[in-house]
Amino acid sequence: MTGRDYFATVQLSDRDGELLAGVGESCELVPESSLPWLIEQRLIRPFADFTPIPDPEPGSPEDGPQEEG
Amino acid sequence: MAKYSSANVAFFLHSGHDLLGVSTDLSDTVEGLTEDATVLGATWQTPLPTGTKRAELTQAGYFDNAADSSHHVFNEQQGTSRVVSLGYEGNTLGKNATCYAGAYASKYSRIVSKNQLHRAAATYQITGASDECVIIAPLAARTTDGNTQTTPWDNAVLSTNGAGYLQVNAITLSGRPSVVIRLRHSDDNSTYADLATFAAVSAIGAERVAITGTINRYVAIAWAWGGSGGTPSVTAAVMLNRA
Repeated sequence: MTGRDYFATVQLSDRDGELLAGVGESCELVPESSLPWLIEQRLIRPFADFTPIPDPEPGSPEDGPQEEG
Repeated sequence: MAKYSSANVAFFLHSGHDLLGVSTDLSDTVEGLTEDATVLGATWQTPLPTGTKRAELTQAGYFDNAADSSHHVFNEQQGTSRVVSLGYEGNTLGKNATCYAGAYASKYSRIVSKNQLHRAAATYQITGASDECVIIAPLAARTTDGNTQTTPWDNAVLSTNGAGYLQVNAITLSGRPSVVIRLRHSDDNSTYADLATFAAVSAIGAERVAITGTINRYVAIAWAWGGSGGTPSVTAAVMLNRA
């Protein structure tokens, strides 16, 4: 298990206040010992859970109104 | 267990305004309402709890028309909802404090008697919550960005749901737009995560934020100023209720 596989859902810092990960950022700086409780509380999520929204196909209804002509 | 006296009362904040210096008596009451369910043939009256609670706060003290003092806070303010915090054990990390949200000073009395200083008294009806809290950050001035994560409150165990209270007693922006104060928590006192964020502060005031979900055993605060330059300062206290 490595923090590189996870992104933060809240801002994370170390005890001294140094930023470990901002919202949406990789948790590679988060100590491995902290990962289990952060995962359990869903404060970090695996990148594998993140499904990017694909760009709409040109001409599809999701692509917005088409110019007349 | 310990006993406390009037000397231990550290603050009595009304949406940031500290009325400790003009208060002599405080009484906070939480009552579980009951309905008389006595039926025919019963020998003893049978009050049954309805599940509804009522909180009431009364205070007595001196009339003071100084800005931000008792008259300013109470006069013609019967319709103003306040966030009230009473630090009755002292202004120290981990001490208990009682906090109220939706506190209306519904009754304000000025009392004038011969050979005495004028008095002021107020009775609050609490429409929101009455929360037993722990002081996470004592009332103190805080300047540059920082946190209390090296001196967190250790509750020994985690809990679920609660509320955070922020009281801002004084603020000097010094060219900054505002300061954002956050509650932070940790399971291992190594990595800290945001727990709740109060609205950006640019004036004296107070806020209660409800917390849903896990509150880990270690809790601290962090604060960050917007903008740059100057010598800003905010005098604030933060309390936490664990449901």
